[in-house]
Amino acid sequence: MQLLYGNDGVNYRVIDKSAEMTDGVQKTLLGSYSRYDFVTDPKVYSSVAQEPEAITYVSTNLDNQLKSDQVVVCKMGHMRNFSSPSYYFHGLVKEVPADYYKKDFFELFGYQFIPDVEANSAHYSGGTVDGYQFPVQPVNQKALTDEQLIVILASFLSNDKKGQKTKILCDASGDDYNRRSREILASIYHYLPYELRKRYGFKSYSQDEKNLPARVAFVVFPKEEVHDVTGFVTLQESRGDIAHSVEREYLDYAAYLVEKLDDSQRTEHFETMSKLASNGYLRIKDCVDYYNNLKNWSNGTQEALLPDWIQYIDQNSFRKGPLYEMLLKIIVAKVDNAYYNDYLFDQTLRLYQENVYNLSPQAAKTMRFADCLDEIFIEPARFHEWYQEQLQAKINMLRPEQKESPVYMAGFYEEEIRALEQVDIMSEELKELLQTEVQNLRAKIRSNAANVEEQKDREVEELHRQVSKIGRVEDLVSMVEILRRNIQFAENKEVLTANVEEWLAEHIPDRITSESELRIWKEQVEKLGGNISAEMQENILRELAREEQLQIQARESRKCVIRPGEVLRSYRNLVEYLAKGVLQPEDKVIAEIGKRAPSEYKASTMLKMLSFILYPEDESQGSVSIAWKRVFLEEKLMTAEHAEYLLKDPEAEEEFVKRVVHFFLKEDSVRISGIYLARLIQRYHPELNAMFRKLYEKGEDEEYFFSDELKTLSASAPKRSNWAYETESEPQEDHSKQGKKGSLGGLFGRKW
Amino acid sequence: MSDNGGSNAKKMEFHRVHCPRCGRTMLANELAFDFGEIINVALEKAKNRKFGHNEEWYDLTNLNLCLYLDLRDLMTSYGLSQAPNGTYQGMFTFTTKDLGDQLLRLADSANPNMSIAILGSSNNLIEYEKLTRFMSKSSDVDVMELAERIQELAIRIQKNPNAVIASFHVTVNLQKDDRGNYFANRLLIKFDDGQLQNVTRFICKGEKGAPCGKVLYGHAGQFKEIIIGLAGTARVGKTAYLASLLASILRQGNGIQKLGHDQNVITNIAYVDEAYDRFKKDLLDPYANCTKITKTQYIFDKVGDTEAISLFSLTFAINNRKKYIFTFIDMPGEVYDDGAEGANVVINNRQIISDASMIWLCIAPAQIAGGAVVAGGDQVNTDLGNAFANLEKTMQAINRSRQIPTAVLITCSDLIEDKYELFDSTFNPFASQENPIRTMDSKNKKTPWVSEAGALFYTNMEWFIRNAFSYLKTNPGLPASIENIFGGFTPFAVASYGKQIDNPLAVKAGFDIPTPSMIEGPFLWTLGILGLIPVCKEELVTRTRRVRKGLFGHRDETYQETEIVNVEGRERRRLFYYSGQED
Repeated sequence: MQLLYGNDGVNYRVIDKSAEMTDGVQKTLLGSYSRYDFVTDPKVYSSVAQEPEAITYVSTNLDNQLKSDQVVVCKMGHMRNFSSPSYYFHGLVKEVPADYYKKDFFELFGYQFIPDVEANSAHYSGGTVDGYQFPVQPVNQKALTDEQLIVILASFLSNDKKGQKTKILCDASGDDYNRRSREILASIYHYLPYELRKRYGFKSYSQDEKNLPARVAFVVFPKEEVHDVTGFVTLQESRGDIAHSVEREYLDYAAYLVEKLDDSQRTEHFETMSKLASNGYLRIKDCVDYYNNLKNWSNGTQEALLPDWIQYIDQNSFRKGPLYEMLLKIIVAKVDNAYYNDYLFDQTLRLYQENVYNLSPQAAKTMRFADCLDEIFIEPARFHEWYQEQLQAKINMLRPEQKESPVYMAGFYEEEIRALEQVDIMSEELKELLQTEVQNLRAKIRSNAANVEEQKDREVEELHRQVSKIGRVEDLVSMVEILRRNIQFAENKEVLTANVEEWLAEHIPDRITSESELRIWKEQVEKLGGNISAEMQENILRELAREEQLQIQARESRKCVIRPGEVLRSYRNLVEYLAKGVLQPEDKVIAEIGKRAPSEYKASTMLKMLSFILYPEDESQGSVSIAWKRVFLEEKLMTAEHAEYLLKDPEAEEEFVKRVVHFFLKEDSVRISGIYLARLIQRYHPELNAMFRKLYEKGEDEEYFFSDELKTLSASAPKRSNWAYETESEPQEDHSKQGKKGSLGGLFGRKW
Repeated sequence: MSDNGGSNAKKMEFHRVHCPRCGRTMLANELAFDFGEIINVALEKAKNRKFGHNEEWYDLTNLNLCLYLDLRDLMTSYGLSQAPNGTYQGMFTFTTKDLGDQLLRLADSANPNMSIAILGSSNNLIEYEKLTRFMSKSSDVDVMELAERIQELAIRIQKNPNAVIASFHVTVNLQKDDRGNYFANRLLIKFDDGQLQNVTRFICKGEKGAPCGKVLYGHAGQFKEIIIGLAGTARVGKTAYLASLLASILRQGNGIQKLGHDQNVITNIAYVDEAYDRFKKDLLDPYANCTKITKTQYIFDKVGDTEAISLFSLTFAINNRKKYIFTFIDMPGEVYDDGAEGANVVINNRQIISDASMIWLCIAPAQIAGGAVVAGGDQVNTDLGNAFANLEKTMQAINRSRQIPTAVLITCSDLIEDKYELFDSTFNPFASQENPIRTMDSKNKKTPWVSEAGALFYTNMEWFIRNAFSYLKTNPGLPASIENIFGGFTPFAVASYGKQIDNPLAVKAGFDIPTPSMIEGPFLWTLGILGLIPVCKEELVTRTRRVRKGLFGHRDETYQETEIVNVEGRERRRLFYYSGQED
């Protein structure tokens, strides 16, 4: 069917088309193949008619608009009739027999299309274009040198792999362009195998390097329109010029096609290539592989070629095809299993320290090789050995206690199974081998399980032994923690708890008197949380708290402060603790007397001293030593009331009496009447009277001490034991008479 | 100018960007970059240096990965993060898993369990329809072969889980638009061989299940876009008018005056890229050489980067101040001649056309006066009844929710009788010292339209509009027919070449210079009514004054005075429509 499209003077329109041409075919034809670039410089051509025609050839199903691939040949050209540059399109879509590409194909290079001046409704309408017969003008098919052909073909083979078009710069210009571009293309196709002639189309003229239809492989450009020839075949290159950009195998194959084969050999080669095609689809790679590999491989050895074969099989096993089968036969005949396994294990897996969990692409390919060849398999024993090396290396990394723990090892093996099951390099054979290893690991886990019960019992015993070995409470927590960490069977944790509780019940003493001991116990029991029942922990801690309370009391009770303002409290506490039994009379207490350093005394002694300070008339009177009394004086603990009791002490000697008198009269302590003191001296130490009188004769106290009243009184002093009381009331009675000479009430100014 | 796509309402919003291929409207921060292409470069480099491990993936370069990623994708899926200098940076690592994910995304399967394993199992799956469509790099591809390649890819992904295909460092530089918003504007790629590459091409991502990949204008997102659609049947000179206007703005070619050069009313700062080069080669160069511009091709399907409608964007600074992107949509005349097909084309491009700020409807004198067909030359569709029916159909296909201001351009004004005084190729509409805006008294048809300060003096231009309208009325039903389709309009008469160049027999060698006439009119009017330049006009005001009468008396006397007033707001909208009423 044919399509004629162009400017009708107003619009671009379909001028005529074959009746059977669907809108879809028309749309795809125009959409993909109607692009025409007007020349930049028309002066290069003698007339519009001589401007380049863009002839496009492809075999296509036109984006599935046709049921099968058909030959599409079309021409775009500049229309002479209109001053606005406009183009027209004349296209032929035809079904061809399978052998069309062998010979008849070349007629399309000579097709003469409808001239632009006839591309109008005056010439074609109502489908008459369908009857247009293409006149054929013979085209020279050998218009390129061998070198030019080799460069073009090798570039084409290489470009195809890169998904690039082969762009050829026409070596003729101006009016010669159209003839030469046809010639060049015809010459190239002459050297293409039949299937490639079908698969790769051409466009004889374009300016656009980028937006070309997918099926167009060869594009000829006029040199006037190309400013940068990078990537173009200029027809000036030699094969050496392109050696850096085109792979050797393509150059070799191109040279083979052009130089080494004569016409009949080439035909024969093309026939062979046809046999390699599957579904009429011949891959360039197959042609090149056939040429390069077949001979090499037939004469090669596995030692030299196994890596190549592995690569080839990996890339082609997915598609297979006749060449693959052909080459596979060669490989199978040459590879023996032992060598393959040596190569796999020694030269691949071990050499590159591959690991089964993360195989490199190269290792994966080498393994998959065995999948593709029935005769080749990975030897299970060697695989097992290789795998065990890796597993053992992993186990060696474990700590000794982990290795000995069946429970840990069970988890380890489970993890290993998961890792193996995740290995997927799309190799069935590897999958099976790994499955076997997985079975082995599962068996290990099972045999482990039998040991577990025995191990569990052993652990119970061991726990008991270890706990009972704990000697000191200080070690309890740390030891229990170690034991707990190392418990392998979760259920044995309860056993440990029971053991610890038992230990506590045995070891905790009825009474803890030492504070440090109590602290240790408390600390340990608190840290034990989780290793004993909460109830037990609470009970023990409660008991310890009670004990601690007692200790605090005891500590306080042993402290006795004797300082002005604190004597009464100390006395009360001491009496209370003695009554409660917290203290025994013989227990030592620590006394802090005044500013002196604390020192220890018997509780009974301390009680006597306190009661003397508080209440000198007490029975304890007399049992407080002169030494203590000195201390009390020193610390200014004595009151006026004490004066008599200090002086009447039968053991009081002159020195002490002097000290007492000095205390009351000279020191800034308690104010006391000199008369009163004189009376007491008179009464208890009359022999010292004269001495005192003499002592105080001169000085500031003189007047006071030796008053007339004193003289009188001293002469008639009654000798009564409780004189003090009487004298106490007496001065009060004649208080008015004495005036300011003395006030006993003021003497007791100190408060206890 | 309240009616401009509504984008003025939200000042801080990113500028909208239209994709002319898929019709999507996106914001500037959704502009993507083609990472498939960058990966190809990385693979190419790796191959050149014979890095064996990448060899395996080299044939990816034959496929279109459609990996269009915007900044958000780069941050969420490829771990880029903001650096202290404000750019976004990170290593972009493309693994087999990413490739697999991309294949699944392109397959856009309805099957929720679709996986690479399933894609690898057979290429007879329905998913391959989309995969081959999107991943093909050109038209009419051998689908079976492509599907086989993709299937092989899926198998290879499975064989090499987590292999790194390409890895390079990406720095995303941000650009501030004229509203102060920052958006990703440029990538700096550092390949593992230490070489740097700048990537400045914005790509439209398309939608889920329909990747687009259209390269967008380089200034997209930076400035407000003003879309001007050209309407009119074939051969009326739409493309030629655009060429003459833009050649004049760009001061392209020898002897062509730059439009308002001294006043800097319009300064070209167009983004020069491949599209610009093509525009220059196809449009400006032929025009400047006074040869006919190639008839705009009506391409049925996309081939590479060519669209069903021809469209180009240029950036101009107006009055040396604000910059705008002007996008001209030049639909081939066939769209308007062929009702059904035309409407289809328009529907595909509805979004961008319906966002147009302005329509320029071109009409040839032959269509108004009834044409004398030039022998052998290009012909205009003079069956105006049929043409307008198609125009109407086409315009209806645009779901217009608002009226688009329309200028009617009577082309080829050199063919109009002299009595209308519409052709004057020596007229300079820009005022200057040598060419001042004259006073009322001395005003004539040579009086400039644009003041030295760059304001449009509408009163002067109106004289010309009035004449154009009277010419339009020579076909009595025409103004009403146009109004029926487009609403109110303002007519202009332009001549792009200003001479007959239709003669196919003319000697090729004789290069000539175009002598355009009044081509600035529609564009200046457009700038004026869109509020891009100030507009003022003269208004006759009546005043009273007291004059002495006789020796002792006074008398009040009314007089009229012309004043120049600024036209703003609603008043400016009235200029959309020239009523044709004589004052």
